[in-house]
Amino acid sequence: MKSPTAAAVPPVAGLWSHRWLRFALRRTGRLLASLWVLVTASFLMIHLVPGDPVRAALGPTAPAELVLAHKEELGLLDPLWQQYGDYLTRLLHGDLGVSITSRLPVGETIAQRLPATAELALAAFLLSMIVAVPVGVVMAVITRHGKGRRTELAFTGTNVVLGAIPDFLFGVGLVYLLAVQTNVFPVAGRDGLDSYVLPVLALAIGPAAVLSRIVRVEMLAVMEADYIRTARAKRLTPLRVHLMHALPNAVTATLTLGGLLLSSLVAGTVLVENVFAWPGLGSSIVSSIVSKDYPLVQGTVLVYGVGVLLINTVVDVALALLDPRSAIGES
Amino acid sequence: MSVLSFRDVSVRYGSHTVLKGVSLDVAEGQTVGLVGESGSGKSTMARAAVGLAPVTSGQILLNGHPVPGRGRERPVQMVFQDPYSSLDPRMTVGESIAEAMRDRLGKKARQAEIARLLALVHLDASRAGDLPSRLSGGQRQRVALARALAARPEVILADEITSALDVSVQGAVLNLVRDMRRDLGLSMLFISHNLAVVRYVADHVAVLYAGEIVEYGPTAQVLGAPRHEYTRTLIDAIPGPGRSAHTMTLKEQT
Repeated sequence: MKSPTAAAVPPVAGLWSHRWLRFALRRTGRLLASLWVLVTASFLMIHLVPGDPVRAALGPTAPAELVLAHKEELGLLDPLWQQYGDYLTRLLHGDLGVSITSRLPVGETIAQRLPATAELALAAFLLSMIVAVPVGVVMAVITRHGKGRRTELAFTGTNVVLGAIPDFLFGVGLVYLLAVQTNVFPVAGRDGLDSYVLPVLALAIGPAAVLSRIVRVEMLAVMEADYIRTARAKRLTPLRVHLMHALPNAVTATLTLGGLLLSSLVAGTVLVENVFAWPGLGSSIVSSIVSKDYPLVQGTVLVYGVGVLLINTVVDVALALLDPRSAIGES
Repeated sequence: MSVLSFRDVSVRYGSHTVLKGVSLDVAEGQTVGLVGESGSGKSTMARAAVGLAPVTSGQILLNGHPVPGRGRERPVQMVFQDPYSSLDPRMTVGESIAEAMRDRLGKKARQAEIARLLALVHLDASRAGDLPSRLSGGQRQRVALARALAARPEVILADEITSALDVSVQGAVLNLVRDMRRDLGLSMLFISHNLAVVRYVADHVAVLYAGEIVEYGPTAQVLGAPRHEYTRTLIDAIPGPGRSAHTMTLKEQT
């Protein structure tokens, strides 16, 4: 005869896997819907903005017949709904089209430029996490129970100021101080490790400030929890209490916010790349919007959007794994 | 020989004095009940013994020496009131228990020790892999007791450990406490505002009122023939057949 424990396990496991399946389906559904909205919005925005991409590409002196022929070739004379249908069909076949300006396949341009942007965003994200988590934890410990009032005031004040300054302004300031005035780092470009320092710093300072404030607040809340009191009553070392009990419990909100910050970092690369003439997607999207290079804008926006959506999905899955009640339990 | 001794212990938070020169001995193998109304300083006494409350003056001694504050030796262990929040939600039952262990053990020895401790509190060894969220209140309090036992303590401070539990579960936990004391020879300071519970588990009772011990003696004597007026008020406050419950305190009478 089976033991009661053995008999009880399969239905519980079944229920869990069922919940995980529902979670995965729900997330995939949301991801697909968001992608469709993204594709449609980017298509409509660039097409409804006034301007003529072919005229922009060929120049103001190009003959009208040539412009018309090019438009016909690119399908720009078709009704908008037909262009949208064609675009979706090509997209489903993995074809992002050809740049109107450079005549290069959009996929190729993106593949060339994406690594530079991804490196920048990832490095800035890692730096902000590496700085923010220890700073937040230490500040929580130092300023707990009203201790270190001045330190708290200085931390909060600095934090608010740093969090409020846009990243491209940091970029300009850093270039002025560390490149133009002191020649410590290169002014612009992507050539060698030292060229990463300023753009990564410009992108990371704001998120690090915001994140460290969140880590501190979360840690303060967690350190009041009964299980922390239990840990302290066990006479564990303060380091163990903070690292093994408080930090893992404070990390849920940090991770959620960290994911959102990474999304904003990806978007932040657009402006910062332009400040530092960084050869990534950010500088390419700005120039393609100016020249109304429909395929390149749509392709780049799609890549940015997919990046943000993927980050959010990864955060959701990580959260679900860390705290199954929060995500799996939702109806 | 006295195991845990409070010697003229005072605890003050700012201008508010919670304990006023309290002295109390918990002898080896003895369970001392500590009773008193909310705010009388019961929990503060226990917290002071494990370093959670600052001792302003006086001493807390274990076998004549100050209670060790750091290191692997943790001879005084505390079990808290609320089993729903006193266990780390991210640590499995086994991890919580293992963390409190005095000796560094290998994986197999550690698992065997966890299973032994779980068996002591009448829980199945398979529970070691569960997170606290999968356990009932009574089961969690058993885990909390096993966690305290893992440190091989000489004294356990039980702070209202049954008051957050259903009445039906309270009995089971109280029986467990009595078994533990009988089988392991543990000394225990058992804090409760429930005199019936204290009568069931304690050999001696100390009555704490406004930060001072106003009466101390064998349980039967203190609860059967109380000498101090506050103790009588506490006993009168127990609801029972033919008796109306009143919770008037000395402060309110004066």
